[in-house]
Amino acid sequence: VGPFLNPHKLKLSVLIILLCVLSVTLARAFRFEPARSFVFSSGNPKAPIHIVEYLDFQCKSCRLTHQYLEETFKKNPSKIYWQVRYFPLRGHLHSLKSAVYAECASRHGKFFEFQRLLLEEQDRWSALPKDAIDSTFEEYAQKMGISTDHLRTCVNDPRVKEIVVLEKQSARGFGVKETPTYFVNGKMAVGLQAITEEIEKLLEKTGEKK
Amino acid sequence: MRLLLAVIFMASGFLKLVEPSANFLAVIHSYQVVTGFPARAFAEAIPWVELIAGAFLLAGLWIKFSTALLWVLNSFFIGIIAQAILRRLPVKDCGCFGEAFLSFTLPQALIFDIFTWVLLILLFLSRVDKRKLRC
Repeated sequence: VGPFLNPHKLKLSVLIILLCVLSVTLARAFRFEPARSFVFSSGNPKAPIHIVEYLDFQCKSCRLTHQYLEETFKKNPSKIYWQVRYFPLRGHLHSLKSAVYAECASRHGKFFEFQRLLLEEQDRWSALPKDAIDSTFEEYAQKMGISTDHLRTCVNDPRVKEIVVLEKQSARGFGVKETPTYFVNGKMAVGLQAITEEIEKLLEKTGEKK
Repeated sequence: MRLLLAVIFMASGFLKLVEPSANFLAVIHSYQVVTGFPARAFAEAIPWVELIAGAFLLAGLWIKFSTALLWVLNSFFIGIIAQAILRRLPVKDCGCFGEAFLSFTLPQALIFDIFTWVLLILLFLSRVDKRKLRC
């Protein structure tokens, strides 16, 4: 009997492969928590394409990918339901603060406007030092008619920061580690290339414009 | 040497597999070599190859075959990383060990991969030599 047909060796090989599969399955089961409900959304909740976006307002790739999604959403408003969540990265100086301000803007019904402004003006505020960032974000909020007093109270509330941090921790629980990360109908996609491929595939299926 | 290589590849495969494959797919995309189906296929298959071939090395089964397979994979990694360095691609983390367990920059990853590449050759040759001696 040749080495490839040795029954003992084959049995042992199958056992090793099964052990590998079992260990990965168990590790994944303990690693990932179930997703919870989402807060900031636009579009039709019954749309065939559900997108959950994890972004960092200071990340350039997030801005580019968000622009692509906005264009796609405009062309196919009835086919896409889009939800946004915070994932401020540590390496960016103003990420956490921008998310806190966006959370506070959301309390005045201005989340999407504030988010758009943050992404459009990203190059400008990203270059600012730490002590100049609050006045800039306050200026943006004022443009939207949000009172500076209300905004400051909200931004200084530790519970608001906690919401952002918890959202990030929760995202880590289901495998998000960088931005932009998306869940398209529950399937994870990271970066512009992956999200473009995924959306185009789904739009082709639904027969809509790309 | 066999055990060291087994641990390296098993850890590398396992740590990628416990994360969603989308994270490793993003790493593959960041090297700007493959996209679409081939990229997705690599993202799904490479960690399993690393884990199972590493487990075979650990168990002392199919040593020559596993070593050759991992050597081919490692040569592919070296090529991919080298082209990323030459093209100055903005790849922050090589993605060698999944999520932040061991984070290597591209030059560090290249040195590490060359080191494992040499070890794989030595292991393969040691198996060949033993067979020759038996003949």
